This record gives sequence, structure tokens and C-alpha cells, in this order.
Amino acid sequence: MLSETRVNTDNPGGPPGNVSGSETTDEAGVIPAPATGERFESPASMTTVVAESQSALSGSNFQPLDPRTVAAERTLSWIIIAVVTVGGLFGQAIYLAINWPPDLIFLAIAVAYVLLLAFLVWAGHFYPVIALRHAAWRLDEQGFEIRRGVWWRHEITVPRSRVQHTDVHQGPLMRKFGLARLVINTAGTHNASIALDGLSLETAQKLRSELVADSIPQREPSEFGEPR
Amino acid sequence: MTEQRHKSTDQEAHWLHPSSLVFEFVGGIRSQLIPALLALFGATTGTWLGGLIALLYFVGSMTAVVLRYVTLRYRLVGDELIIDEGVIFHVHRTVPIQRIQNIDVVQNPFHRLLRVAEVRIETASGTEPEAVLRVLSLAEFESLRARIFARKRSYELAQSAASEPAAAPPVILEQLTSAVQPAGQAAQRETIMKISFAQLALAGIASNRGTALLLVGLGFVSQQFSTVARSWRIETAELTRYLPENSSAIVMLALAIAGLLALLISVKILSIAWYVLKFYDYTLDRSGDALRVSCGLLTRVSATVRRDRIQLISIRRTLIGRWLRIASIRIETAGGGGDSDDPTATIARRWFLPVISEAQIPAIMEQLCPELKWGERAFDWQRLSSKAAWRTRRMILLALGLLMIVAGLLGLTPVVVALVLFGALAWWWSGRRVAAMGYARHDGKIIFRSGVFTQKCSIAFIDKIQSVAIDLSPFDRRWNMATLSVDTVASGPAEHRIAIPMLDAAYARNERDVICRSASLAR
Repeated sequence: MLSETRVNTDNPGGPPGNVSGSETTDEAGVIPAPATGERFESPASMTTVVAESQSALSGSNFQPLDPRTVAAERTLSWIIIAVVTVGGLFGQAIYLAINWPPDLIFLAIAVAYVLLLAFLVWAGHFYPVIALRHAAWRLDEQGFEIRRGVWWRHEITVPRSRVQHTDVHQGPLMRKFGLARLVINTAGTHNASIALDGLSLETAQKLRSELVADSIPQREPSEFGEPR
Repeated sequence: MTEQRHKSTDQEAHWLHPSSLVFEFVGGIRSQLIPALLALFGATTGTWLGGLIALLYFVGSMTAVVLRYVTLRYRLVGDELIIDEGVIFHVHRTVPIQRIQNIDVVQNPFHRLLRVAEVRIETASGTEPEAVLRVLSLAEFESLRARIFARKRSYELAQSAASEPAAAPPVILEQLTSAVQPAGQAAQRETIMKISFAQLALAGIASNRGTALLLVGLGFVSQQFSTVARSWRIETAELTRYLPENSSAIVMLALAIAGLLALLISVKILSIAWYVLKFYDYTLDRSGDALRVSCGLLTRVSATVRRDRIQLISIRRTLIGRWLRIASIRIETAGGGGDSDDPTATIARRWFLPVISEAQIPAIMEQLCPELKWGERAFDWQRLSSKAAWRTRRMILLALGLLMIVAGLLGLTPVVVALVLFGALAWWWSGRRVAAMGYARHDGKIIFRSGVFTQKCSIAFIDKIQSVAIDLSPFDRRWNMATLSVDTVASGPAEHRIAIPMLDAAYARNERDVICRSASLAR
């Protein structure tokens, strides 16, 4: 899994996981490099590229989501838009067939239809880019942090030792684009499971192994893994 | 088998107390009431076939109860509690003793008469007890409890003694068991608090718990009347006959007030009765880390919470309670105590301390979290952003102003007046709300208080925090504010989520970093 991606072992803006060199990072493979195939060569260069425009990445060592997530979301959106377009046209045709000639009500329906389509195109095609710009994650010695949200911004941090277990989930569309969802489960109540969409499969798997490797020493003392 | 019952030899099977049969039988009748009634009905009306089927069903379920009693046995083998039951479907349950968190007891009046108790063995998992032994004799229960906790202690000692956590084989454990038992006996119970009758009465006065009881009672009474075939019309007609002739408005008003007063007083009396029934002879004691609550007038409940398992402590002060200078304390642990009907779980969590005088709080907090020097006034409270009150008020002004313009244009004068009154109320409330909120961080604890009418002050332990979040709404960003919230392992009886809104964004982010740093250090 790591074979093609271990390019950048000592990048200057590298994540603290590299610097601190704890035993877990040595064993489980250093994570914070996004390292997902040919598109990402180095997280440092990536950070500098995106730093100007991406507010969620303004802090140090934040990693962006995989840009392929835009393509994946657009694919889904366009399927929905196509369905809505065809359905709407069909409905309007039926309406016209019943009350010909077109009246004011039809005009209102048509305007609403166009507005809806415009909104769907914006939300489906352009919004994912904005959302991507506002989403980022970071794994450092403190824990795993996620930032996301365009209007309502959410920043959530899970301390490393609090990770109970992690899941990597892939839907059919995600699989096509090589994406995955990472679900981090804590023993908490309101944020008991935190899902992060739009990671590349490799990143998600590495994050999972990193987080799980890190939570194992915590469980040993209280042998039965009870949340304390 | 009866002679062996009180010996505490290991590996030996123990059965339930013979009176279990009666209690299970009564419980069975209660749950099987409909088939039983059907059987009776069938017998009396002569349609014996349906009756027979119901009777067979009834007898069958009763047989299951008897079989359960006959076959249920438990034993302590090594460091496991093993419970077997069933004939056709044999259930063999193994509970590792280290996982047993506490052993709780419920005793209703009949249990007490027979000197037996319903014993619940609880582990950390889930909301339900791991095993319910209904019922054991008190002697049997005490010996079981002593043996389980002796083993638990020896296991913990073995763990702390061994440098490697893995190096705690059962051999060492067995050796330690005998050595530790006297020491365990020495660390005896220390009573932390008792609640007097007067305090329960105060709590009853402060609460409105009686309202529900009164409504149920009234409903019952009115139903009785209707079964005596009196319509509501006749009742009211009769009531008016008792009124004086040609009664004036003042008399009517006085009567109405007297009626309301009587209603209020009966609600309060019922509330007091409820508190006394439930919490009579409340005792909170501690042995080592285990806090035990026992209380109840008729049904006595004894429930245990391990101090190190407490996730959140919440002090509640209701409006009337503040006048009477009383408060209550709820605690949250992992699992249990939510809306569940389980009496021990709710007593130990939701009703951990049903009433406490203001002056006793520091002493109790000292017991609950000794690391924290409790002084609510001395805490370094961080208020919300200085613009927080103005922000809510401006929002209220904008929304109400818009509505008022619309209502004014439509010529709805009463609506405008109502909006003005509502606006004044909202103005006052938003100021109070912001003033009531405070956040403090002390000695590895997060303290959050909020509430205008019912004030809640909750303490969360940073080393038990599961995640920390910062949320910014578009308005938050405009005002440079943020909501800081922490997530704990809790099941919710405290009803106080730690989410502090409208903090200065920079401060909130800094706090987040500090909390995360110390939370990640805690293992």
C-alpha cells in the first residue's frame, strides 16, 4: 500500500508525527503525508499551493481532502440533475397537455423549474469545490482534527487515546474514484462517531491503522477496553 | 442444599432463595394477568374451551417461572462469576469479576419482610445489569458481595504491583486473595451524607412532582364518578348548589383563589410524599472508591457508583430551590441512568443526591472529586464574549421590529402590543442568559454553568473527554465568536450538555488546544 508513496520522508513542512518519531509512528508507518498516488508528491508543496486560497488549511500541517471527491460528488449530482430535469420536463409537458394554451400558472412553474435547476447545478457542480476548500484534516501528537463547513464551520478534535475503533467505508461511487470514508468512533455521546468523507482509500487506510495502533497501548492497562 | 447455602466455598453452586418462587410467581401473574383473567372468565361463564387454552398458557408460563428458579444457579470459579439457567434452552453466562463494576440491591417491603433482596450485578457495558438475581437472602448477598469485591481488589493490587500489566496470572491472584481480605475489611464504609426528613420536605416544596400524581388521582376519581353513572353536568349542577345564593363576583373570585390554593397545596403535599417515599433514610457512604446510595421508605434501593467512573457531575438549582437554598446533584457514568426504568441506575445517577443544602455542596464535591478545590465563587469564570448579550438583543430587535412593521401595516394593534411585551421579556431573558453562563477550567476539570430559571453547573473531567469541537455559525464569524463543546461518555441524566456558545473565538480555540493537549496526555 505504501510502496509508491513513500517519497517524502523529510519534507520541511512535514507533520510533527515525523519529527517526534514516537514508537507508534515507526511501526505503523508515518501517516500525515497525504501520499495518494501520482497527484500528491509532497504535502509541503501541496500546502503551499493551497495555502493562499484555502482558509481551512491556514493552520499548520492541515491536509486537504482528495480533489477526486469533487468529481465523485459531481457525478452523483449530475445524475440527480438529469433525473430532475427529465422529471420536470415530463411534468410540465403533462401540465401543458391538460391546460393548453400556457397560462400564468405554467409560467410560474417554469420559472420555479429553471430556478431549481440553476440551484441544483450550483449546489451539485460548484459547491463541492467550495466545500473542498473548506475541509481539512490533521493528525498530530494531540489527536485527529477535522475542519469543515462552508457557512456553519465545524472543527472537531479527537485526542488519539480516545479513538475506540475506526471504520473505512466505500460506496460504489467512492470505489470508482478511489475514495473512502473514515469513521472514527469514540466512547462519547453527541459525537460518538465522526465520519470524514473524501479521503483517498490509501489515506483512509493509513489513518485507520495509525489511529488504531495508537489506541492499543491505551487499552492494555484497563484490560477490557472500558471507557474511563 | 439448604445447609450449604451460607457457606462461601468457592466453585460451589448456589441457588436462589426459596421465596424467589413466590416473587417470580407474583411477577409472572402481573405480566400474565390477561390470560389469567381469561381463564377465570372462561370458568365463570362456562365457555370452558377458551378458558382451558388460557389456563394451559398460564400454567405453562408459571412452570417456566418454577423451572427458572429450580435451574438457576451461580458459582464463583477462579475469577469468573458463572450463572447457569434453563432446561431446554440452557444459558451459561460468564462474567469476569474484574468487569463487575458494582452490585446493587432493590428491596421492596415483601423482600424486607423475608430478609431477601433482588441483586443486580452490573458491568460497565450497556444500560442493563449484566445479571439479575431475584432473589437472594441477605446473608447470601453479603457473602457474594464480599467475595466478589475481595477478588476484584486483589486483582487490582496484582495489576498495580506487577510492572507489566500482562504479568498477572491467576496463581498470584489466588495468593493475594487471602492476604488482601483483612485489609479490605479495614477500609470500611464512611458515611458521607444523610438526608433529613426536613430536607426532603423542602425538596418536595421546591418540586412540582406532585402535579402528575394529582392529575392521575383526579382522573381516577372522575372515572369512579362516571361509573356511578353521574354525568359531568349533574356534578357541576350539584356543585353550584353548594355555592351561596346570588354570590357576587368577589365571592366567586375568592372561591377560585381558594380552590387554586388548595390545588397548589395538594400538589406540594404529594410532592413531599413522593420525595419521602423514594428517598426516606437516604444515606450516601463511601468505601474506597465505591460510593453507595441507599434510600427508600417502602422499596429500599441500594446502588453503587465507582468514583473513578464518574464522567460528569451536575449541580442543579431550581428557581424555588434557590430561594430555599437547596440544590440537587446528578452524576453521569458510562451507560445507565438515562430514561431507563432500572431503579438502581436512576437512583445512583439521576437522583444521586436528590436534595442538598447549599452549605453542604463543598464537602460533597470534596468527596466526589478530591483533586478539585471546590469554590464556585472563587473559580476563574470566563464570561461569554462582551458583545454576546448585545448580539442576541440585536437579533431580537431586528426580528421583532420586522414583525411589528408588518403587523402595524396590517393594522393589528393587539399583535403589536404583544410583540412589544414579548420583546421586553426576550430582552431581559437574553441578558440573564448571558450573565448566567460561565466557563472555567481548573485542575484538569471543565466547569460550565448556565440557565436562567433552573441553573446547572456541571463539572467534566478533561482526562475523560472524548472529543472537543468548535462550531462557528455565520453570525459567530461576523461577531468573531465561537461555540466550544466537549463530548463525554455519558448517558444524559444530567441533561446538561457542555457547549459554551458565544465565546471569543480566539479564546475558544486556545481552550480547545489546551484541553486537547491535556486530554491526549491522559491515557
